[in-house]
Amino acid sequence: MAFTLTRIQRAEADTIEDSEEYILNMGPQHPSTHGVLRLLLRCDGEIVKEIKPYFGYLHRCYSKVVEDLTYVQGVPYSDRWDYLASMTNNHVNCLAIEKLAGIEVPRRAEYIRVIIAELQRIASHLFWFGTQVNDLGGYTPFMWAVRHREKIVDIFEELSGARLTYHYMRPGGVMRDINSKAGKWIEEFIKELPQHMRNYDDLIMGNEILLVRMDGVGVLTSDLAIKYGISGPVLRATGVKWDLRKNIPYSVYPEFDFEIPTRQKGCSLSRWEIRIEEIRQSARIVAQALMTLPAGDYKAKVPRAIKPPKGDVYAAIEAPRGELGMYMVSDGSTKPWRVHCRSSCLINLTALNEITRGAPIADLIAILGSIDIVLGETDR
Amino acid sequence: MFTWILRESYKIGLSPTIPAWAHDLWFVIMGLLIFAVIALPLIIAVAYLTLWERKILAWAHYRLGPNRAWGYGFLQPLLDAVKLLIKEDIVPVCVDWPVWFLAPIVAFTPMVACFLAIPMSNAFVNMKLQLPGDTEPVMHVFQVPMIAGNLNIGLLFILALSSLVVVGIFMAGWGSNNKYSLFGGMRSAAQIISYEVPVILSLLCVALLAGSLSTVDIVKAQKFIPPGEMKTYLELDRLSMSGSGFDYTKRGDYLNLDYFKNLEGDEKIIAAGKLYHRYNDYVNTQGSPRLPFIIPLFIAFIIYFIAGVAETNRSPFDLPEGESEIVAGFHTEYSGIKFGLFFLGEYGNMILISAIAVTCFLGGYLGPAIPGMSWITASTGEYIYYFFWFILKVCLLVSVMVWFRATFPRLRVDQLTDFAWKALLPISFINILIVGYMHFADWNFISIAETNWILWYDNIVRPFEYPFLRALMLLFFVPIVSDYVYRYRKVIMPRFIYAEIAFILAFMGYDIFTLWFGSKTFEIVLRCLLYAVALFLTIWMWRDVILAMRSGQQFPNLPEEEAMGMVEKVKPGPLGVQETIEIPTTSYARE
Repeated sequence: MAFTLTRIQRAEADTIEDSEEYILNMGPQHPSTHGVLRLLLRCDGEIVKEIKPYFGYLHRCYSKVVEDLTYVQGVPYSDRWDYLASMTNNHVNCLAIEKLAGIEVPRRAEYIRVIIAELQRIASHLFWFGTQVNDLGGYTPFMWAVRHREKIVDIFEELSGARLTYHYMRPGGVMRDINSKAGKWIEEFIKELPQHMRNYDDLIMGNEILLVRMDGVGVLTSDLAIKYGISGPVLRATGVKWDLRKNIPYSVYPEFDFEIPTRQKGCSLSRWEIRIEEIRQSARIVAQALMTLPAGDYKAKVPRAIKPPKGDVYAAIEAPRGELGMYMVSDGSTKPWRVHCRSSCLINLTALNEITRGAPIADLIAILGSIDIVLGETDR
Repeated sequence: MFTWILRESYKIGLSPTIPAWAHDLWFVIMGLLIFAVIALPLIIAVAYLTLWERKILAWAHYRLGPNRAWGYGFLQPLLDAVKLLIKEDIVPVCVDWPVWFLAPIVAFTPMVACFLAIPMSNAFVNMKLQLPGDTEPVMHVFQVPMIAGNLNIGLLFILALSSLVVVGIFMAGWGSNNKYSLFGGMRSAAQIISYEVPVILSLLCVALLAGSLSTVDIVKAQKFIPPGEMKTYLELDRLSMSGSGFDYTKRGDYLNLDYFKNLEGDEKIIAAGKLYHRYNDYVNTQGSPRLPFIIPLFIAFIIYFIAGVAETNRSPFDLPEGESEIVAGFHTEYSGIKFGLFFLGEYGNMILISAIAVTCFLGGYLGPAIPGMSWITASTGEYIYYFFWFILKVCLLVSVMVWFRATFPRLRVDQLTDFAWKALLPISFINILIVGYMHFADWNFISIAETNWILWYDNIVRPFEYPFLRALMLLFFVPIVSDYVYRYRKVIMPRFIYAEIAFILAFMGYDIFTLWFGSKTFEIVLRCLLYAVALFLTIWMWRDVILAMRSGQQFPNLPEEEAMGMVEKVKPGPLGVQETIEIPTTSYARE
């Protein structure tokens, strides 16, 4: 093994005498690439010299398909981008349509949207936590995380009828009001969450093996991050305090009191800590929103066929994985002229080569997990 | 035990005058008996260990494990075995067929063979026999440990055989014609041979305390001797030294002792025979602290157990099996029962490591004298009682290994080997020195002056001087200057070789010279001189590195290198880094 050179020095150093570089293909089918992602690695021994990611295995021509559908018909397609955080996908789609068409969303609907979006963030982060620690060899926290996430999925099933792609948020509001059963479940979940987080702390968070695998691994500097357009927890780990809920607020987020966790180091451990902290902050938001939930309509009066005026709009939200944006161009008819999804995962993935070259292959797994990509959103 | 059976079979009828085919047939039957009694239960135990592991993992995950087959899943291992047997045996193209085919066998068989040297129980057996030399059948007392063969070098046998498993893994990695498998095989080989050394050093401490490499003696050395029994042995010691002609190795001499005055005939022979065996065990294990060795050798046990877990490629050391990075590592290309053999081999290795740990540290088959013991031994025999304790202890340790798998994530392979060489190995060395000292000081914690320092130096320190010195040289210098090692790798390697040759010649010359010369003072003086020479050679090897470090230069210039790219520092970005708020949770990183 190479010793304590910096990662970039290792990446650009000559090969060890009498050894050759070889190409290793971590193909589309692989337990740890979190979907159908193909990584072509040029390696020297255990050290990765260069990574070429090939994606597109899950490309479903979303932008083309929705050009033939009305705005409302296109909303379920957004579910399938980041299928582990479906509610936030719906959220950005509805935000774009409402901005284009000038639809006013009632306050109760906004509050429900915030509750659901934050619960979705908790669910997404729990699943990320489980899969990442599963890749690193800890099977138990994965099972616990998925079990605790089940409670949120049950809540969403109660509200929307589905367990993965909810299609719950509609232009103008939400599909169904929060009934008392769902409200009770949400309250119970928020009450139990601190105990679960303490369990994870005890089990895995201070574990020396985990720290040694994650600390200082995959360091990303803040200027590089901004150059690449990184967003989300990856950006906040490098020291840039940028969160769309606070910096470019949307919905009713200004009414809630929460903090944006930031770290300086930019390594995998920082990204890890930020997501764990975000779970706690999201629970805080949900608790506040539940307590101050106003009465009113859960949905605005929206015409059956939405015909927005000509123009274009870009709406972005802070999805669990970064800045998820939607660019819509309307030509005055009931169907959009052009739709584009600014995928947080794809933009975050472009930095993979930069932060992984020079690291051993085992580190690649830790880094790829900590960037947290979902191929549905990367490929759309 | 089986040699005993063979010997007795000679005495009861198998004589050299029977025809050759009958003679050989008897041995074949004995071999099959050994297989049946050791290997078959082992395979069944290994299969049920897979079930036990799945159950424990499941309970840790707050779910049930296999519970469909026969109630609590008791038929599951059989079903898994059948499934593996009926699977299609896929042979990838371009495999190196002999190597690929033999790999699972080479990985599995040594593990089974190691169990031949592990004692699982012990008992006294009284038989009325007519041995050659008796005029009529007389009562004889034998001590029969439940072991296939009581080798004098049992521990060495086990260590040697368990090292063969890495050959099988290597063969699997190479023969599979698959980059991922080669990766896994290389990693695994590096890992296993790195962890062999702490294992051996820890078991050296055990051999030191027990005074023998025979596993039966090691277990007997851990038996606590109550004061009453000890008094008897001390009196027998005095008797042996008193010149009255009492030979403790002769069974007949014991019959004349005072202890058996009131006993008659067979009872007397049995009691005397038991005392003969017990006293011989005491004499053969002189010097041991008469406690389960985990108490004096706690650190050695921890090192052995951790290194043992690493030897078996188990979590947290199971990177060679990948499961995330390299799909399945060295056993990717094996299907059906070939994979099953690797699988069983790994679980069997788990049981083997636990069995060795139990034998060497936890007292083997020995158990406490619980209140109902005499009733138990009277009705079912000592054999079962001791066997139960052995199984209990092995199950406990095996469960701890499974617990490790449920709890810990995986170590990266360089962190793994770092841990072996930079953490476990130095601790093992220091452990041996300290244990050796305590052994020669009779575990007397108070007085240093009563230690036999010369014995300690001659027996413990001297064999390790040369390797210890070389390891020190590497271990203390390399981490500090490891950047330089990488950059200077083409220059330093030849220097290492020159220094190595110089060391060898110097120490060889010293040995020959002192043997010829023979003066102790001269020996000490010359040794100090040699250490000075070694230190000088070390400094000479690193001369330009040390000069550069002293002058404050970051990297001394090598002609073929240029300045490298950017150095990673965290710079404040345009949106500012200063406004980070303090969130009241601790960072998990070590600062």
